[in-house]
Amino acid sequence: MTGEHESDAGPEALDQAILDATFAGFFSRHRPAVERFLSSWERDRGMVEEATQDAFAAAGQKWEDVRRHDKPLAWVLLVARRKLLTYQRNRKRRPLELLGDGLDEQPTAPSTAHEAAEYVTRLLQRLPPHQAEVMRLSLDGWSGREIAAMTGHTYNTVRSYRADARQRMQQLAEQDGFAEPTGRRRG
Amino acid sequence: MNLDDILAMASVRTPTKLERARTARAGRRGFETYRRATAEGHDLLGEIDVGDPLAPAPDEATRMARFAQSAKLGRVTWQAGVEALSWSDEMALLCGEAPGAVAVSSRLLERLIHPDDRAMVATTLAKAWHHQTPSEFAFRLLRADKSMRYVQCLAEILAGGAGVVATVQDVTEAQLARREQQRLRRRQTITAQRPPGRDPLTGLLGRESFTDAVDTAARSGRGVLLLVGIEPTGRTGALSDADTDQVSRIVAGMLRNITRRGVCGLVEATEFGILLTEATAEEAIEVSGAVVRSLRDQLTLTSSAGVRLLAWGGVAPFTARDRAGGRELLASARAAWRRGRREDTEVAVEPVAGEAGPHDQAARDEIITTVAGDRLCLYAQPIRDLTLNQITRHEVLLRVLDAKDRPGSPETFLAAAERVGEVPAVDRWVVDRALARIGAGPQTSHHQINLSGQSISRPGLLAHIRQALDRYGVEPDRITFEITESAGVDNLTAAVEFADGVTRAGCLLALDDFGTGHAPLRLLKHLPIDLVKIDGSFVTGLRHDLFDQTTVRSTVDMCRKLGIRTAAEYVQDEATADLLRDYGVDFAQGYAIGRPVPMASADSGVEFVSSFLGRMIG
Repeated sequence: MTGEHESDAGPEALDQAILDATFAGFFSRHRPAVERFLSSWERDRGMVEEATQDAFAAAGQKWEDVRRHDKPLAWVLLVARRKLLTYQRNRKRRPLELLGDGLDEQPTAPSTAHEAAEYVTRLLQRLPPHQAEVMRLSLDGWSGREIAAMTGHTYNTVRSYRADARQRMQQLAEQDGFAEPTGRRRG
Repeated sequence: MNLDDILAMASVRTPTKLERARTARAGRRGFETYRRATAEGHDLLGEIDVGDPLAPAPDEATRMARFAQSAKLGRVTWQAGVEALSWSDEMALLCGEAPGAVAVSSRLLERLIHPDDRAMVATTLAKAWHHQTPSEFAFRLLRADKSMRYVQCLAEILAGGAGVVATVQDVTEAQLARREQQRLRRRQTITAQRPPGRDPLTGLLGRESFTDAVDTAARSGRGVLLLVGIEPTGRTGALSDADTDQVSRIVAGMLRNITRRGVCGLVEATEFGILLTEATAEEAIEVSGAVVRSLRDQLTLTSSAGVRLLAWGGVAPFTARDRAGGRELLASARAAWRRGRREDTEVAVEPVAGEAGPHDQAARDEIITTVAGDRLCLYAQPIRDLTLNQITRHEVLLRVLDAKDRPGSPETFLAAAERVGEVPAVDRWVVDRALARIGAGPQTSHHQINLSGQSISRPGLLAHIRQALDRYGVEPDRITFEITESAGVDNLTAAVEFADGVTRAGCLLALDDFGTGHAPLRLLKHLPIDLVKIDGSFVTGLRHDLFDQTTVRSTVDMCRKLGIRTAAEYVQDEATADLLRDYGVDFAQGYAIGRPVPMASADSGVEFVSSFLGRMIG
């Protein structure tokens, strides 16, 4: 870099510092949500982390535009989804040994928020992937129309998937022994 | 506790200290990534093209169309009010049409669906429309060029019943991979049968396995074959079966004790073999003497007592240079001990007669010169996958150049090479050149390479193939080795070892000329075969010959049950190809499918064009 450029870099550097700071805040607030979203339909942790990282790096690069969106996170989720789909397509074979993972043992009741969240992720992974991602976004507070826009489905489909997913999760939870609401439990 | 409780519990989750630290670390890494990419002028989105997904769209159909375009989805949209059909660029490509070139109509869509799937697709769509719910289904798509793809379709209803959006995805690769896994599972459950190895009575190698072991040793290095002939004589004349068995057992035990480093075999009930690799004739004579003497010293061998044992040793030393096989060596050693019996000598030596006469030597030299001088070239003939109706593989064919450099049939050349035992040299040349070409190409096609039965019975080929695959960076699962001249498999143990090794390396194995005599059923039983090529003589007259039809159908039936795919050669018209598809044959090859072309041009259009232009101009 020449001296001439450096003298011009003053205000630009400041702008960049502000951008970086807002992006850093955005990143640390939302990274878990993106990982959670991808984990709902992909069991391979490494691949999920990779796609999340890719999406945020891309967001950092485009931050000047993306931060002006109403909900920048929607953009990041969409990019992360696209990145993960590409990784999935390039994967040679589905790791079959992972499919039966932990399905045989009866899970114990979660006692912390962390355990409960892990259990929800495992439930989602047992649903058809399209339904799982819709349900995950719904659980995270996105509206049906937003979910439709982010997943490329019609609103009708999102509603239907959400209902089906909810019903299937209910069934799976009951099979796992979680049928009675807390408080009404015997003893 | 129920699902609601768990969801409520999970929703208040806050990141742990460890997770916060991880996020911070990932943040720094991401920050560096995009700063570096930006500095290098490199776009991290790559081919992904997205705006704000929540930006408003005029209506749902438009939003869906935008999404499809940006995500490169194959989509067909039907708008109920205006009765309008449209498809995305990707959908046109999926159907084998250029985007924008064809106006999509319901007639066209119907033609794109495999006839057997049309009714199912229509019913499913009608049901989805009636219930106004999304529906997912699979069908076979017939493209403009008549090739077939497996697709997965999601039909979605537009808000207010404004129409249907169908997203179609090509899942052919996944479908084929799933089928291949099923086939392999079936093949494994039937597990290629190992040839009988050891003699159950004595625990020694049986005649065939012992001969194979001698064969492999004789072709790999130096050593000595020792045969011991025994003659048990009972005091009362002939021995009972039980006594003979017991004699065999006792002798086997003694042989094992005396020759700890050799391989022992039971050749006949009264003939035992010991293979000593890397041993000299003197050592062998010493061992042989010890064996014979200790056998003769046994005064009471059996429970009935009073059986005497006479024994003679025959020694046949060998080196790989003799080019002798297992059978010749056994014959020499046998001649030796029988001479010993006649001449009353404990141990006799008989050198093996080499295979080569002076005439053979000339023929052998000619073959070596042809190979070493590259007077050979490779052609590739296309093979059609009858399910996909598409060329997916090629068979590599050998041609011999004549004095004027014109490529000709290799039949005479290969027959001569087979007769003098030089086919392995030819096959190694083919493997090497073919894999080099394949490795340099795009590796989109599957290649089938011929290996003669003789080659796979000789040591060394497996290592050669492994090295060549490695050297040229060839994906092993895109290579099938075809065993031709299966009659040439004269060492089943070596062939089984080769087959196991080559399939472990990831390659596939085919049996050529199936149906023409040469005992290939035995190979099917013992080798992990993936593909059977039905001999062309059953295919040329297929349309009119009831015998051929029956043979082809039952071969397909048998192979299906064994987890083996089938191919037909010499397919000379489309009607035969259609018939073969109806019978369930997987692949077709022949002039109707495509003629062999020089291999370079099969892989590289550029070379083909330039050689074509060269011919036109020159």
